[in-house]
Amino acid sequence: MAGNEGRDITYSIAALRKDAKIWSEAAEVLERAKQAAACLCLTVAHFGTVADEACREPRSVTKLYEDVHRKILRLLDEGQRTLDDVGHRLVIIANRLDGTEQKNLEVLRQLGRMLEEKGW
Amino acid sequence: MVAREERLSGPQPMERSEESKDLEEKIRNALGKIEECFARLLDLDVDDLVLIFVGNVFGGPLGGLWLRELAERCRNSLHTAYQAYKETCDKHINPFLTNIGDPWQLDAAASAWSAKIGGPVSKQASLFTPNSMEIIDYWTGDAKEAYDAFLPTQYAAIEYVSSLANELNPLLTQCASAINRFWFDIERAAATALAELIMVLNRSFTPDILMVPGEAIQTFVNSVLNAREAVKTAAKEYTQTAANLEKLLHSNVALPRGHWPRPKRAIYDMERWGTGEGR
Repeated sequence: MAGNEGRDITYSIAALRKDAKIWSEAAEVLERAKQAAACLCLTVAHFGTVADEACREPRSVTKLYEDVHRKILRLLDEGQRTLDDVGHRLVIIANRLDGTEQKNLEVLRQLGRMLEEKGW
Repeated sequence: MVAREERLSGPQPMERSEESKDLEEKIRNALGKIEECFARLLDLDVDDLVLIFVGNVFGGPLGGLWLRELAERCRNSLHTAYQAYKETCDKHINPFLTNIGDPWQLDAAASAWSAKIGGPVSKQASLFTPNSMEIIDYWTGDAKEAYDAFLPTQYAAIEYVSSLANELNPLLTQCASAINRFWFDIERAAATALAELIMVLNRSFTPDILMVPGEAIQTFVNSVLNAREAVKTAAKEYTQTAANLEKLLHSNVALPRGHWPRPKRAIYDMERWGTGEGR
């Protein structure tokens, strides 16, 4: 950790966790938006032949809609993964910095030992 | 990525609304009844028509060539009206009846794009600014710099995807409105024509109404042609919206190589996070 030795980094770690929450919550919003968008598949049955024929340049309205729909779904998926990943990694960094990760590892080790003792 | 897109495009299309099914049934019924009326009228041959004239106008068997000619003219008029009706249906209605469209679901989808996608996603953009993030104030180093530089890319990407979603709203609403108006006009034209033909039949084919089908069908033809023209005019409006959407679709300013911006590795490297003076 660059130049943090001897400093009180309590507030800095809290800042990491607070920001991580923003990323994770935004990722959840994108996930919900993706799920809602996935239900909005429309075909020529909805646009009707009359609208589809009237708007053919450069593509029919159904084709244009399908392309935009697919692109939005892909972007929401990529966005959700990116935001979630950043949020998750910020939490990992915070956990390492304040020793939470070490504590968690210790708990896991103890659990492992207990299970071993019980013959698992 | 292709596999993911295929997987994501898996969901089933929206159900067709009951209103759309009802509208189709109503129009098909009206057109079917017009056919029935014509079938009954065309079933009359010249001798039947002569009998109508004789029975109703002259009150006795006068006969004569001029009477047959008059009856022939009426019969021809019925045939011409029927031909005009068939041509109009074959050219301007039947090809569109296979998929009459669903303005109700288009409107529902338009609202959902704004309310469930564009709106909520857009609200997230404001969070991805230095003012909203605390790390900016508490940390220094390469990672913090990378984090700082990463925020505007997320802001832009979120704004971009929400604007794509929001642009779909007017496009779908305009389409819904054009489709609605078209079928409303067709339904009204068919109902008017049907009412007049039923009137003809109910008067038991008296001579004074035998020319009416021609007029009724001419009104019907004109209404259908006007409805088609109205759709073409409306299409110009939503073609413009579609063009805007097309532009937005292909402008990937907010997206490097067309994908959601990813962070630099420095952000994930704990060694590169340093604490500054704090606040």
